[in-house]
Amino acid sequence: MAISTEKLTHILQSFVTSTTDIQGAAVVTPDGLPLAASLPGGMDEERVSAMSAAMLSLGDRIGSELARGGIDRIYVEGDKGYGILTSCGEDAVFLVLADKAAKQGLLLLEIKRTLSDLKAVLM
Amino acid sequence: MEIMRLVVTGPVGAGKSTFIRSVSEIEVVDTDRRATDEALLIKKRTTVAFDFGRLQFGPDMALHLYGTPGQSRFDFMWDILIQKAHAYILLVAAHRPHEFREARRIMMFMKQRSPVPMIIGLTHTDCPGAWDAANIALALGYPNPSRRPPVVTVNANETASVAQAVIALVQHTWSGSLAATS
Amino acid sequence: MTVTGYLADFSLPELFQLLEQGNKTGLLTICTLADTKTAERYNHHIWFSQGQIVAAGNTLDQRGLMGLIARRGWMGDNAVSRLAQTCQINTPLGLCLKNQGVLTAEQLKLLFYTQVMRQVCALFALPDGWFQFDPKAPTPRAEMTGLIATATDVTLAGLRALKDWAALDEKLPAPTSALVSVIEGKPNLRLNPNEWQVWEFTNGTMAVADVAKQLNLPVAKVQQIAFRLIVTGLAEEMPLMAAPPPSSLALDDAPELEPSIASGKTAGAAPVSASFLQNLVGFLKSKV
Repeated sequence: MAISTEKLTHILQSFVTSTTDIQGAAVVTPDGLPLAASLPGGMDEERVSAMSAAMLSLGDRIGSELARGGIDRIYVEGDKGYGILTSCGEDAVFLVLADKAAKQGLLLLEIKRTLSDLKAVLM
Repeated sequence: MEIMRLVVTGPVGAGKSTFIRSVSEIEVVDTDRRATDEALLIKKRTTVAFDFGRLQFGPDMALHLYGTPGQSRFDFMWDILIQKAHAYILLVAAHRPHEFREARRIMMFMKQRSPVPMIIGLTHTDCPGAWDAANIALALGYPNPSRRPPVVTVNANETASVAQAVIALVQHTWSGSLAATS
Repeated sequence: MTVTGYLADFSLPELFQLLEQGNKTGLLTICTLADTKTAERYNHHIWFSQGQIVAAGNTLDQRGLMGLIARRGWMGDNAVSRLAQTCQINTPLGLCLKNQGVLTAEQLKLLFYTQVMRQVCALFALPDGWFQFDPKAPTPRAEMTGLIATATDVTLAGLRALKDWAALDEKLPAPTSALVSVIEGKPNLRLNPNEWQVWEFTNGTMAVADVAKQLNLPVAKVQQIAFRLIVTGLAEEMPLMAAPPPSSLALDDAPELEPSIASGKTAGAAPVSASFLQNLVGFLKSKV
């Protein structure tokens, strides 16, 4: 199975540039390695990937141990913005970094749309 | 509730998750994922956040065991876990000299962030090509045998062996107070 | 117990450091892996005495040094063997020949340079090889000049001359790591100017990549210098994270075993009571 990193990167780049208030995005493996990323300068791809994987795996455990079911999404809301982790099938995790000004409904819609693009490439 | 927190650390494939599974009473909270990196050469799954195991040995007394991920890309987890630890054990696979330098890096990281005592646990000592304790201690940067942490041999698959290692860690950490009260 | 492995796993500089710090006596054999073209393999032998290198050669027939002397044209093979038989059992051959007035101190130095420094330094370029250290091997009197070199000196010389670092790439400290000194005061080794420059940054705070920028040197070069400082026992790699470390470094483990109950010094963990410890140990013992 050859995953096209170029296609993934292209999807991420157009997602980041075409959506207002989105600052960065990455697709990483569940064990924390980068597959593709379009991140703000100064942010280390490898580090971002490892953190995303750790967070999602913990979220998963909270979902099952505390009877919340399968996890769709994890939100980190800070006073400067959001970090949103979405499971992207078996083999990937999708991270989005957004500005505090982002409209949440719009953001979720955009994530959903991009997610299906990404999944198509990852299939 | 009185709680003691021990951290189990070491390079990929040293047996950290197995160690915790062997001694925990509860089903271990693990956060392992399918390995896609070089860890795959050693095992199928790898810890990405931490493993958590517990031993409840009194109505209000419990031992908590935290296992770290092995890969250095998860060093933020190393940092989080070591901050609240009472002591830690560094597991090293005796038959993989390739990992000794990585074990040393992890140890330096931990020492720099926490002054708590540690011991070294050697796993896979029965495998072909395994080094003995004295030489591994040297490879980890302890030339002086009288000034190094205790080195114990552990079979991470055996409850008795893991219990023994935890006893060694506890006794090393609190040697003063255990002697005073017994 | 013997120490064995592959150089790709445990590199020659690391191995030398281990043998030196462990004051090891014995024979280190390095067997090169089969050459892809010629399918040939070679053995290299390096003899250690109390952590120092005393001889080196390609054979175990005890005739390496005699051969070197003969090749220099100083004495014939037979003449050396005959003289060698008159040497006392524990005296190195080179020293014995010097005592008999056959070789000068200068000639011995030259022999040692050819036999040890040149041969051993060349081994640092090996991409891989199988090694074994045998602590029971006898002292090779007939291979010894009587001169010695510290493993550290040989490592420094070998790594300074090394052109292709590919084999050691994985062993080099990461550009994001810092260096921290593990000795008191200044090094006793004769460092070169660049090594001194990097040494000045062994305080555990600045990443190797930033040191390189500061010194206007390529990052790879600073990594290589840093590796030299590490394998010669001067410094240690310290992985850095975004946040600075809260506590200072304590390298000595032995004397600081203060019980956390009494001192409450444990970093972020609440102290535990003596009865807790008693119960825990008792409970664990029931599982053994």
